Amino acid sequence: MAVTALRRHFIGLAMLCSSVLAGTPVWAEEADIPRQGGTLHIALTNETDSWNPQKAVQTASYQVFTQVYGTLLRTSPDGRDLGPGLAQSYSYDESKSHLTFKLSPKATFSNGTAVTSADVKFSYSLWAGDSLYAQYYSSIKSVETPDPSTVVFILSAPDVTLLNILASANAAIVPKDFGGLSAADFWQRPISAGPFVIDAESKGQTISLKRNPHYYEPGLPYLDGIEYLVVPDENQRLLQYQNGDIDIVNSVDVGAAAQYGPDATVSALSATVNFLLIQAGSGPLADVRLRKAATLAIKHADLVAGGYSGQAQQAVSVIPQVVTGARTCGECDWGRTDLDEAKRLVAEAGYKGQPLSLAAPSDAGPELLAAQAIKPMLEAAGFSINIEAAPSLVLADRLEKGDFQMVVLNVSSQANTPSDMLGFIVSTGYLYTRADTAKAVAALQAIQSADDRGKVEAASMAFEADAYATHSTVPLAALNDIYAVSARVRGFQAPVFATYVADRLWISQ
Amino acid sequence: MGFKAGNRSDHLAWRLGGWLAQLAFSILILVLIVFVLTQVAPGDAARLRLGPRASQEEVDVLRKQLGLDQNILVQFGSYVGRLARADLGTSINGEPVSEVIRQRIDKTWWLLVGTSVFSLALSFPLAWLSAYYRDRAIDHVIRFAVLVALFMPVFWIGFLLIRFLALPTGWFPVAGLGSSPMELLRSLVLPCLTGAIAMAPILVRSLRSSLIEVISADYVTVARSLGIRGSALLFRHILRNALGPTIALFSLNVGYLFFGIVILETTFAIHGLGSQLVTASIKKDVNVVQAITIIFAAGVVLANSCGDLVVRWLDPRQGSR
Repeated sequence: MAVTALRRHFIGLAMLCSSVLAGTPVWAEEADIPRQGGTLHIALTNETDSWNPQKAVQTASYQVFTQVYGTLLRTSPDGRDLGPGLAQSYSYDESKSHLTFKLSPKATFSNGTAVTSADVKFSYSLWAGDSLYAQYYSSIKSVETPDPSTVVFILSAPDVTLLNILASANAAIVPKDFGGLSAADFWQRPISAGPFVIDAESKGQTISLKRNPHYYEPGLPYLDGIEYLVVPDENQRLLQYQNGDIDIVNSVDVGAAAQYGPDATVSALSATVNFLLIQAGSGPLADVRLRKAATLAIKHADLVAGGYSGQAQQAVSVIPQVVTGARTCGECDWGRTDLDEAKRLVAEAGYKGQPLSLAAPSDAGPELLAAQAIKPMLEAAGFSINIEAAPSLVLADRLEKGDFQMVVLNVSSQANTPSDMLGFIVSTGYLYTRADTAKAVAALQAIQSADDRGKVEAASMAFEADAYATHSTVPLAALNDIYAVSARVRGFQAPVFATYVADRLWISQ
Repeated sequence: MGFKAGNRSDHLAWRLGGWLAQLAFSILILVLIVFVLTQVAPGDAARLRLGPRASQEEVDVLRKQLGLDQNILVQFGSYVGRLARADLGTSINGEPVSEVIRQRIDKTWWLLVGTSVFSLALSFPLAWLSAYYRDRAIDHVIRFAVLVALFMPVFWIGFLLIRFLALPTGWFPVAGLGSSPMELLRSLVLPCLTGAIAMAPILVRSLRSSLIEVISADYVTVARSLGIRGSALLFRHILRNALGPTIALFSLNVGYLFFGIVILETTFAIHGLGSQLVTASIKKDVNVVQAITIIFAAGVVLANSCGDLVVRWLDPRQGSR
């Protein structure tokens, strides 16, 4: 036994030396060669709400959709690049009114049938039909299918941002006529073209996915399956991670990130912005001078450095900067602090020190901490502030009714186009503050008819300039999205839009 | 004899009828309270389901589908009518509530049974030791431990057990319930122990007092003088007379446990009815909240009635009072 062990150590040492001399450490070689097999356990922070992307609103649903549904295009984790998906190529005509996709000959649904242009046309009817997200596709006038592998989107206006939408899981390709099933049956267990298929589901508890043998990428996915566990409690997610029951925790809370250990978390600047929303429709803050004074009183750099555990950056625009086409305006100096100017504006507005409420959700994210940090800064400028911590449910109701004065709130862009955030801004009455939405509507229309990226950026900038002049929606911090990833998981890159495709993830031995 | 038997069956029928009436009345009151509470709570279930990005028209359509556009009295009447036909309705996600219950009730059941068994298994020896060694060191240690446990929050006990028992040893899972019988048993240990530690202090204190009273009673002295010792003395003369108040207290605690299960399930990430009650309350999923509340209410009434029956069986004099 002793000899065998000694020999094993000696051989190991020799291999180590030779590999180091060759410039490739053994452990690196072992760790960097993807291997097939294994099941990944991923924690979801809440339950999924539907298998139908047009009806689902929970981020958790989309985190699972990206594993199950195939899309025409795919986006890189940083959201900057588009690559082939079920379509191997795309092209615009000269007028940019026809967007043509050539489907990959390998594109196949999980039941073994080929993905055809008829399936894409049928899928479009779902996206633009009874959907919560029909606005994403408003520039598509019709879809033509000249042959089974070619699909042409006829556009009412050139819309360069459409490609990013078509790369999101919302634009899932499903078989024509639901593959012969009723819609109700189909959405219980959909036929799909993503890297994984649904194996089993216990609603609100677990979702088991297994490898799709017909996946269009040869040799992928590496994993045999994914087990999603719904764990709403932050402490429980941490404990299960520490016990080795969970490999990846999606959306780690800023306050809990340090407990996972120094090397356990991966983060990336996300499409989530922490805002101070100021009521512009009624009450003392309807005076823009007071809203501007509030912005100038905030020590933005101190807030970002101390309020978010180092997991944020100073926000420079309302539309998150990670969104392709988002640009801040030249005069938008959201990070400026000028206490004297703030005091002057407060005096000029005739503010008499009546108490103002600053609300924040008591049960989610770093908003309450940010509100507590902002309170003394506003008071230094002469405001009288009461903090109100309210459950998200209560706060959402109050926002809907316009029953607030100031609120600290996180808002996320779900798709990689400025039109997503702008659409949300418009539908929420300029994020509930009752500010005039005319400029946001104009920017949205301009973006959805832009034929080049420059026009998208110009429209974004025009909206940002209006937002800066209005001072009702004050971007405080652009937040990181944090993931806890166990050491045995390889190939993970933190995504910008909270979703990632796990076809290239693998588990080391 | 015939006359007596008739009396007894009449008595039983009367008691059963009374019990059912009590159950029906409790459930009706609870349904009304939960219904009113969910109506006055802030938020709109349709808006919560569809999210802030949905248009008002989409929200209105869903409100109509869910019947939320009707007047509150009509909604309540329609709910009670459906309930009378054993129709629990659908959740706001469109899933039948009966299915939501079916997928989770077994986990809650195992947790209830396990916690009850653990709490009895913990309470009896501790109470006996404490009473038997009254005012000696072991009694003081037990009474102090019981006092500490009495003031510890349930979730904190669970957290400590996970942190200092499950994680270092790996003997027990930190979350969920296992599927095979052995895994199920292993996964029940920590949540049930947590529940038992929370329940036991009151039982230990009650049983200890009763035992001390009975042990020093004249009839126990007489029994001893007649040579009755060991298990015959313990079970026939001491426990039988001391158990009454503890059983009543135990059944009351099992009643509390039905709603305390919410904390146990949340602490140990067990997807049972308790954790579902929390999720449904957040989503204002009225039908699910109502159904789970009814089940728990029925459980409370049943636990109290069973406790009552056992007390009467142990001491028939209770029935004639």
